[in-house]
Amino acid sequence: MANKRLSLDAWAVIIAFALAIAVRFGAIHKVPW
Amino acid sequence: MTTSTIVIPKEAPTKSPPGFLQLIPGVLLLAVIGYAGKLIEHSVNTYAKVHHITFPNIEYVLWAILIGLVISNVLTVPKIFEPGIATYEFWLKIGIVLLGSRFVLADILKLGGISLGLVVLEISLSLLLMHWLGRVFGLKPKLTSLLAVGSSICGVSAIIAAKGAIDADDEDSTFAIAAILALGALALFTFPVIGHALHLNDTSFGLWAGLGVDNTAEATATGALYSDAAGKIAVLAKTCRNAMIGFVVLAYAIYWAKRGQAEAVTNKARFLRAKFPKFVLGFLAISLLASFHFFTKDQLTSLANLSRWAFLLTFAGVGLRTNFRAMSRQGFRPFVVGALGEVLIAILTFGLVFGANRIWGL
Repeated sequence: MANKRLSLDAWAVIIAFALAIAVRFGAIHKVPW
Repeated sequence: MTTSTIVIPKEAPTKSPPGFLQLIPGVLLLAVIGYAGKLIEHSVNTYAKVHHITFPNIEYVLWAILIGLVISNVLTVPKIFEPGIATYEFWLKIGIVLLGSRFVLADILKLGGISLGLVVLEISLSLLLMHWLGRVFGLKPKLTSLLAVGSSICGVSAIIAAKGAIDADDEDSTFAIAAILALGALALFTFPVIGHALHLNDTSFGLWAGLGVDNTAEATATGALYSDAAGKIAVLAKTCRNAMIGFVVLAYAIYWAKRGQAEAVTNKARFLRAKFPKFVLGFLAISLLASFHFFTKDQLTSLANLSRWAFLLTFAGVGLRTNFRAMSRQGFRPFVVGALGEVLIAILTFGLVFGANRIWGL
């Protein structure tokens, strides 16, 4: 039976994209370092 | 359509994944150690500047790794932190995907093309070398396969993928993982020293670290220890190596299935899809967006900084999970094979980078 759980890899990509979109549309401003 | 039989990867024994609350202590520990590394770097630099002392700039990367190493080797990390510490690879992958924003497509096509060519050569030669060493030292064939996969492609994740596919023993994979981690830790401290001694430029060093250091976290840290630019190139080269994982594991799976020592199935495409690291696609997709000016300059800076924060947690984890006592219990011969292999692979990859530099002027 196929395993429907998302892999760690897939979660990392989803979260990275969510962050990128948040930066692009202004939800996250100027991240300091 | 091909109907040749291949091996289905066996699922690793599934432990129920830790709940969100269980992750918090360890993630906080990663953040505290990483941030402490950043503060120490800043304080040392400020002190040196105020007192007009010439002091080499030691990056936060090294401080974070050293603090982690001290905690895991001198003290004992309480169990409550373990699930959170294990997330360091998750932060690494987020950091790599976000780092894609610092590459435009032209960079990837040029440097990625060179990296990919070198990666194919590196993998082929490293596999041959590790199998030869395994035979010379009389290691079990499957342990040799695991060490070969770990040292030629991408460390721990490749070993875990190969373990399922070739039906190797738990003991062999523990051995191989321990050897690869110990050698990764050594590379972390030796590569930058050699790079500086030989006056390698950032691109050459980054390529060398990406090709020669096994585990993705250590390769990223080794590049970042040299310079920010070298870290970026190391991630690109390492990502190319990671992309090959499915093909090499598939080849091993077919080899062991033909010998009747692993389970066989028919769907190669599904096998490759399952083994292909998804973060490589994420990295490419973000760099594609950056190439088409989806982000402004300020936004690109923010994404690069987010990537650095993610790496900060990763580097703390690299130190914390490197336990020399546990590694010394894993046995001598596989470690010698791994160490000899690593030294030879480091020389080999240095030669490849040197050759590429002569041909393409990196």
